[in-house]
Amino acid sequence: MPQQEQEEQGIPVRSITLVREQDLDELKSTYDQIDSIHIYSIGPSSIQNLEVLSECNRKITKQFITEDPLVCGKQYGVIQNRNVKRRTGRRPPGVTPAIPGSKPVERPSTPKVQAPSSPGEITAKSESSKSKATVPETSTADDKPASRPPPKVKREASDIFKSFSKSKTKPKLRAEETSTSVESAAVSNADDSPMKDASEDEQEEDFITTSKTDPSSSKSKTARAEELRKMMDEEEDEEMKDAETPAQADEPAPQDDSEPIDRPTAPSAETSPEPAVTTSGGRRRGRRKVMRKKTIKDEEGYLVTKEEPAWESFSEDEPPPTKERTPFSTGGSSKTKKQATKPGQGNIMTFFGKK
Amino acid sequence: MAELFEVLLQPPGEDTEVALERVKSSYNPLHSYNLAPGGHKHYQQQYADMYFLRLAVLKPAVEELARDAWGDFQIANEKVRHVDRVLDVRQGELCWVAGTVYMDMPLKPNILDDISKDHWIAAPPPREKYLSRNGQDLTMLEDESGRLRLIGSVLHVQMLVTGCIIAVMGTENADGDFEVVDIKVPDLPRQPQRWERDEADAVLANGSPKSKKTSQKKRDQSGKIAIVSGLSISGDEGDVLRLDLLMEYLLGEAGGPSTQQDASRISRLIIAGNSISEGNPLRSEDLLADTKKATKKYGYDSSAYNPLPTASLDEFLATLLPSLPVTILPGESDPANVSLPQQPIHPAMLPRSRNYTSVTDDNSEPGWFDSVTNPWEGDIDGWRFMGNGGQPIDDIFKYVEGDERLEMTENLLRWRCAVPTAPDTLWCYPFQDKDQFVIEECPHVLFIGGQHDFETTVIEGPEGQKVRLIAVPRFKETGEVVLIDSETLEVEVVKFDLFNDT
Repeated sequence: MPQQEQEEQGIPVRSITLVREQDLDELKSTYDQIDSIHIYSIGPSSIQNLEVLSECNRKITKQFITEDPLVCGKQYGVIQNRNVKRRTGRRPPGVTPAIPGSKPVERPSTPKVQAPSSPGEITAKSESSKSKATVPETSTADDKPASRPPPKVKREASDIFKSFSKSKTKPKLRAEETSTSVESAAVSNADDSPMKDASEDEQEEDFITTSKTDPSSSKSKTARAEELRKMMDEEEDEEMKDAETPAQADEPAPQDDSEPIDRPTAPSAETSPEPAVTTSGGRRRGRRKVMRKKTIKDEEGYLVTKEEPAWESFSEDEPPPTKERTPFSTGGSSKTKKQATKPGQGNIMTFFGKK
Repeated sequence: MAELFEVLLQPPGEDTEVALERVKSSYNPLHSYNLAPGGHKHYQQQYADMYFLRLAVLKPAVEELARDAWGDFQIANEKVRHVDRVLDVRQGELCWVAGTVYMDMPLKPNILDDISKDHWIAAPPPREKYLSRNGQDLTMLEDESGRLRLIGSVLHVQMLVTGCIIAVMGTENADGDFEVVDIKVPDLPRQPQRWERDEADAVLANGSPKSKKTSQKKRDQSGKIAIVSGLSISGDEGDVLRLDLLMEYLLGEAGGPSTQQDASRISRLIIAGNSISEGNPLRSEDLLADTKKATKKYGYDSSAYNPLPTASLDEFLATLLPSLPVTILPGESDPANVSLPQQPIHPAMLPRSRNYTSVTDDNSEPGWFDSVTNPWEGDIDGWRFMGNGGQPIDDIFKYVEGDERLEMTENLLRWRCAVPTAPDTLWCYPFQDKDQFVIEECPHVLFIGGQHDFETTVIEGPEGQKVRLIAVPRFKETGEVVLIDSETLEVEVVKFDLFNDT
């Protein structure tokens, strides 16, 4: 990689040119002055396309993504800058605490799901070459890199987290399919000690209440919720109903399955119109249905305002919307009473009560 | 020559290398073009206010110049009379008047055409130039009272576009056209002294003039400022080696010790627009309409959005930032709003680089990684820098003959208007209280991003102002980066190249 300076209309031009060895002399003759020559890449054969070399850089950045450049840069001879200002702390909420929270939930389920997930963890660890983690498989070691993520880990971690959260509902479901008993799921959860640490009172409460209720009552509850929702649909116009069906189809498949099976473990079973709500580390995550006003332009160019139901993911420690919470709380306390009044006028009363 | 290369061609020695330390950059950005956030931005206002405000601010300036020049000017014993309004011009009377230029060009895009778009069979192609060959273009002078058609050979000498404020001298002929004898433009505004603003800030902060002297003394030698434009990161592998070379050069990983020493003097990198090749990762409305009938997907849709370009840009920036502070302006193709002033690229799009952004929300302390507006102005090492992503120049180019980019750039300052053709042919925010594009203080360096070739010159103003104009070429096409010495404002070019690469 030769370097030279040449004068062009009084403006000095410095070139940094990457050249193959056989062209070196030809290139040198075009320059006025040569500062330095150094070898950029060395290989057994001539590279057809020099751009291939950039792949090395991609690899390096991917492999050492966890290194703190402020610490390691000096070692690599990067020009140092002592004035650099970088934010510390203040990580995006949800990402970091979510990892220890979500992981234990799935771990007890089946080893089959864990198998693909744990190699991902290991590679992440080996990538953070300097961390020197010794025990690769145990759960305590798993928690370590997650609990102290340097800013660089963030992207890596979020990827892992994404893969977890996607498969999260699945293992749970499988556990139920095989055992179907409430106890086994509850016990397997209870076995998991990090779970208890990570989860807060709210979640434990959920487990207690759900384990107490027998499947039949909760089934009727879901049925009731189904009916309630039907009523809600009726008060909307026809077009709305049509629009809702694709939205429902869009919700994750395991959730659809869970309603007939009536899974008691997840708190979402209690709040059936609100699927896949998980509570971990004091933060609720999941998706909820909201009515959105949507203004679109149709084929003729007219503006049409529609109200459609949309699924919106929410997270963090924001409180669940009170509008949705009230019916559930009353339903939880006066469960049997509601059940009795279900056929007949009771439906109307709940309808007004909701408003 | 052999000893030159010895440093690298020798076995590793015992003594460890001393790491190079980068020169400090003094940085004090202005936030002139930041718009009010969120709901405080309104688009209901009329654009007419902008022209009114521009005329109100610049008319006194140009009238003062004109009065000096034409105050006792006589043609055939007829004294030139100053006329206040365009409407007061009388036929056959020698007079001068100030107003806003309006170019009436048949080929210019017209809002009415947009409305009648439904009736088109095919849309007309975007024009390279608005100039029509058969001389249908009219130059008008307007103010709040009326319009006056300008004719005369002077119009071909002086570059004029819609929106600039000028004063013209001449007479109205029998056809009602104004025959122009001479034209005056507002010319360069006042130029601040070097360090003026920083010193004022320091005095304000400390409250005593004594500290001013001390602060002046402790200033050490400034380094160089690198300006690059048009990185055009597409996210595709196979076209990024020059970008890698640039990165290695800036970090001091490339070249011999002397080159690395030079690189350590670069104290700041300014990216002047078009960092990403296709800024609108979402498909256009027409394309969407075609695919609309297909399956509807909620949330993240990887077929409609390509995250690679921003991810690559983030990687590039995050590698540089530990060593080099970066100021990034959005450009035409960047993921920012389209209308000028373009607001900063949101750091959330650059998850790794955003750790280096400003901690405070109130702009009190500029970030190490500063995502700024386009156009932008600020003080670097005491000099006032002003720059844009190239859209104002590219638009002026359509109005005038030839391709003299530096002349157009110079005229921005002479007209005292950073974006004269907005809101006529460039989209811009409808300013209400103040036309933000009026240049109030003359910069020391004016850089224009996204140009074809590197060009530079120094222009001088009537009061001895000296401005370095730089047209920054697109890196993707030329591989060129401009370095400005922040002591002398001399420029040099660093060119990255692959030799005989097929």
